[in-house]
Amino acid sequence: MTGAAPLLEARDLSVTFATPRGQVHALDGVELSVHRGETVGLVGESGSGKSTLALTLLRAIEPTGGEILFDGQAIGHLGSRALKPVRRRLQMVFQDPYASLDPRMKVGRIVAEPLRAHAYGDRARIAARVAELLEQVGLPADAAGRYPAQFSGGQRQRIAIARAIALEPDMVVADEPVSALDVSIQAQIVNLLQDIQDRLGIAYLVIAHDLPLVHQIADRIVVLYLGRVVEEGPAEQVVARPLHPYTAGLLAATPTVDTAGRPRLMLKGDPPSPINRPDGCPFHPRCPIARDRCRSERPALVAPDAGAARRVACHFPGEVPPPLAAGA
Amino acid sequence: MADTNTPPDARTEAPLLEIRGLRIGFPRPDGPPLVVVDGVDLSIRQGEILGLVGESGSGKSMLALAAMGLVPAPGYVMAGDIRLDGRDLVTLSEREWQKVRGRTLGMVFQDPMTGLNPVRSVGALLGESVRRHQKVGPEEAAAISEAALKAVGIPAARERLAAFPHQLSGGLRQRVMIALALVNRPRVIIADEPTTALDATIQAQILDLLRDRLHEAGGLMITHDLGVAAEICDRIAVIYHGRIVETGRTRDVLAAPRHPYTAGLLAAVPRFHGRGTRLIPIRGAPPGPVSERVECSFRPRCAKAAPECAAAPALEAIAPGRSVACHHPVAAAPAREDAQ
Ligand SMILES: Nc1ncnc2c1ncn2[C@@H]1O[C@H](COP(=O)(O)OP(=O)(O)O)[C@@H](O)[C@H]1O
Ligand SMILES: Nc1ncnc2c1ncn2[C@@H]1O[C@H](COP(=O)(O)OP(=O)(O)O)[C@@H](O)[C@H]1O
Ligand code: SF4
Ligand SMILES: [Mg+2]
Ligand SMILES: [Mg+2]
Repeated sequence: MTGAAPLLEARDLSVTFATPRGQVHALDGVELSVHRGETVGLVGESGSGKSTLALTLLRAIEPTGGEILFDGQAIGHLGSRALKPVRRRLQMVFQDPYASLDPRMKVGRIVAEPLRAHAYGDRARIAARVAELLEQVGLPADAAGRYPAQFSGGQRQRIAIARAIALEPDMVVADEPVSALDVSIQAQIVNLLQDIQDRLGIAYLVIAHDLPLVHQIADRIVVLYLGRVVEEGPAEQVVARPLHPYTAGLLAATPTVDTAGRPRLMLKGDPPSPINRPDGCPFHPRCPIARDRCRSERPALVAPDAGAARRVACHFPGEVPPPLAAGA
Repeated sequence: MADTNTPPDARTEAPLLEIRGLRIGFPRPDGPPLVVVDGVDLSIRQGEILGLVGESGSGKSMLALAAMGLVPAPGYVMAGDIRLDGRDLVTLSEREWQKVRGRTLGMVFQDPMTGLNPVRSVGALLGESVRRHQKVGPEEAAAISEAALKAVGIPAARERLAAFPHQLSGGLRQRVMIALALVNRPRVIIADEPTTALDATIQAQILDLLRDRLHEAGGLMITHDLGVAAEICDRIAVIYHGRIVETGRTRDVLAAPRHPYTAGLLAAVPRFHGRGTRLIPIRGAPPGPVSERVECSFRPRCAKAAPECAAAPALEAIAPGRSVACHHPVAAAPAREDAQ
């Protein structure tokens, strides 16, 4: 673990939405850090708060509680003017390459947008930079003059990536960047993201539900359940020896060509609603090892042993056997 | 319970569902129709789950819809036979199809909301299907419906009969959809991406259920996810650009793919043991639909392409139960060396 201060940090971050059905606690005291040049993979089932977290870190959603630190600066409640220099350094890529690009804008303009917003230079300089970016993401030079509709899903994601890296940000938050793509194309985009990181040293927060993918590309994995981080640690360790029963259940549930047919830990039921959260440990209604203490006392996110690089929110960490043991 | 129309021995011998030379096209005003399924042969035996695996746009759903008599207009079946228990389905009238669907053929779709009428309660949906296809009174139909919900692992089945689909979680809705597909004990169940919209832990529950229930009849399991196919399918057929490019027992195909496309997919899929390595993408993207096929559809993306590949290869047996449509099949070696 690097001793340097994190590039991005969320401290006790909460977001509550008021809805007709009640208060939705989308994020409930999230703790997260991303260091320079690091890739953090954020996993969790739908509704666990992944997109809300991404949008809150980018300040597209106002936090209800807690703080966000970017390079040491508290940004959780900054106004839009004060945020501008931060936005330049912190960019986002969305899941849906169809919805995230304005269909009426030519690709050249889409990619130039952040350059213009941050007064990158005159027209010629911007045009040259756009051409350079399109080349870097593997698009033909004439792409600049065409509309998003003329591109496939994978190519559109390349356009979104070109836009995100235009200002050479320190960090990119990518919300399910390859989930909508077929595997053969998905691999192209994953490799592109890795090449860009190798070249520019960008830190990534990658949201994905594909655990083998996250394991393959992330330095650390953060597991979200009902708006709370339930486990966090180095990717290899989390996958090889999950400490939280939910992480173990998620790993066991992942169908892969290598692990098919093995007996598995099966989590029962559905995740509960973030409107009516269970008392005690939010996972206890589905937990295979829950006992009385779990129903009343909420476990905090803590290191399992002194000095460990991992943290887990469970009263009985590591009790569930690792589902992928024995060379999977 | 037992199907009295077919002697038991025939059930184990002949395929339950047999598709031969199926072609599905969409007419165009300015030329010959676009052929989206082009000469597909498939068969499913009693007790077997066949996986149809391929990327989006490869023709999986069209093939499934054809087997259910539901190809959306203006699309149409241009050629081929579809036989269920020896009976030809392609020539059925819509009236006759209605007797087959939900009775001999069960269907499960990706999004349970599209398959479930939202203004009918779960009990009404099941009860109506039972009474349409079986000669039973309302009480017996209700009992059969409740048993069907129990059989798909729905807790408090009796109370659930009164629920409406939108009141249920995604996982429960998909269970109801499966109950509806199974309630009349069909001979074959076709499931088109039945777990794609579900989260991993719910997907695992539904796959477990499908593995058991589909094996009781014959199952066609459509998925784009090789891991899902590996979990529950006995055999798989890999489809690319409207054609089957490889078939075989699931473990054989996944352990040693022979078609370069299958091998490419396996190399592109992230795996738990792949940490620190790079994924190996397939270059380019799949072609759009065409009306006439000349070259091998995979040629522009294929690392093994050679001059012969200018002529589309036929699907040919290379070992018992194993077929490949390729002029230069991959050597019979493991899919992915740890080198790289
Ligand atoms: N704008 C909103 N208003 C009300 N509820 C919301 C809003 N955005 C998200 N939620 C709710 O917050 C929870 C977390 O959602 P989200 O962050 O989208 O989860 P994920 O990305 O992990 O699927 C869900 O219950 C969702 O319904
Ligand atoms: N109404 C239509 N007109 C023309 N082509 C269509 C129509 N509907 C589907 N197709 C084409 O049929 C092909 C197969 O589609 P589909 O069976 O849905 O693929 P899959 O289920 O494998 O994703 C695709 O190329 C699709 O573009
Ligand atoms: S605290 Fe209890 S209920 Fe929560 S995950 Fe740990 S063992 Fe399970
Ligand atoms: Mg989301
Ligand atoms: Mg489909």
